[in-house]
Amino acid sequence: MKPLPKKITISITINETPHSIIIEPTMRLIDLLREKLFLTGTKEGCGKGECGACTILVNGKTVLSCLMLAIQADKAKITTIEGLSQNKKTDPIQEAFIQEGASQCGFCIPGMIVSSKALLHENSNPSIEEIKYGLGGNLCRCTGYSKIFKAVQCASKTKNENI
Amino acid sequence: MKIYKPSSINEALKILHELSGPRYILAGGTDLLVQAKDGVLLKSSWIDISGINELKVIKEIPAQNEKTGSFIWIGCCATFNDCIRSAIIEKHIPSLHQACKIVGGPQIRNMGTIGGNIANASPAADSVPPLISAGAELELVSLHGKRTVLLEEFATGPRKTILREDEIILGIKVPKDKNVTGKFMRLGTRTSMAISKVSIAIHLKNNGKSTPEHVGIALGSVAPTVIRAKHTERLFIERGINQNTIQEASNIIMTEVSPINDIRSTKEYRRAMCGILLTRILTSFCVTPKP
Repeated sequence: MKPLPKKITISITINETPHSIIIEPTMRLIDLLREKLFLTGTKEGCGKGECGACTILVNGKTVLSCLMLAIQADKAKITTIEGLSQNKKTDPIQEAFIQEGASQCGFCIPGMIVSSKALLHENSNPSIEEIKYGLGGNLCRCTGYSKIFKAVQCASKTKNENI
Repeated sequence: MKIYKPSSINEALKILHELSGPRYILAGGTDLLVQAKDGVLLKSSWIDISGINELKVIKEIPAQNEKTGSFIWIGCCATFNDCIRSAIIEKHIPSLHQACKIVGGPQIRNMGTIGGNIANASPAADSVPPLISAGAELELVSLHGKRTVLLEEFATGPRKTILREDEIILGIKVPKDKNVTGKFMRLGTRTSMAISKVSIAIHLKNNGKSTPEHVGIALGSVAPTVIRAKHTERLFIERGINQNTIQEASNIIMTEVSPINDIRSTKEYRRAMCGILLTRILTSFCVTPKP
């Protein structure tokens, strides 16, 4: 079997839009999103999988886009932070973060919100301990986390009220 | 850097057989891509096996005959979350279930694989003490065939293993026993996203007698590889688990480890914590000696 050629085409659905993109096989998924597609909502905080700022959903699961090669997302369905506010409608989680004042510099927030989205999808009424565990892969240097946790609690109440 | 993306195990083995030079297997990528960022792995070939679904299976292997017993099979590309969600693992390798829950954070648990955790051979790998304590074996495969090795003999030093350059870890086999209990404990700077300073796993098989039938105790981050505390195990096998033997064992276990100073901790602290963690973890398993 031959190695992948210098340019290959991958098919990837991002925020419900299908793309066919030509890339180098060594390209990281975060660079595909930010540099090729200009979806700069996903942030690179460390590039080493330690901060969670690059968190996105791949086939519904949270992953660190700085630790994935784009070729590993071939044929996958990706959701980035941009996908949560399609057509100018904000997600209840984003609303809750705004309401609770959970953002300071904002850098960790896209990752926090994507992780919160996955958490609430799996557990619609998490306890504070479950929220801490669910957001354990996302670091924040500004807020001390309390308003972020509160925002997730509020979002879960809103979602449950709307069912 | 060259990247290969085989769609089957056989294709992967053919590539490994024909390649010359350094090669790395890409599964979860949570160790490999970090090393690549540090510039460590640039002139090498990568074989991406993350798309081979057969390698992700967790299942029971029923007994072939009376002698062999049944096993739990963990495919090399099973993730930490796959293991957490497996009812078979929760029941039969409880220490592994507990260890997987504390590795990294949710994202790392979605991506990182047990095979990768083992192959990377960090002495701090959290899935390894539980597996060693439960008597795990690895199935290694190449174009030439298969071989089975004890997990406790796989790593020979930090980041060094007996894996040949044309082999991959196909999966992990753990004997499936009745009446097993197990626990995992570790110390880390934070609750999440922390590499363990000291870790301990215990796998216990009771049969209603005052001494256990099997005791497996393995420690991480306190030696060049994950190690079994064999003298400590023997003490419990011979005299049971009670307050007296735990007290004695907490001193013995400190002589079985060879920790170092590094960025996370000191050797004195690590050595002391082996005794402390052993006491904590076993106190719940005590069978009080009859008066």
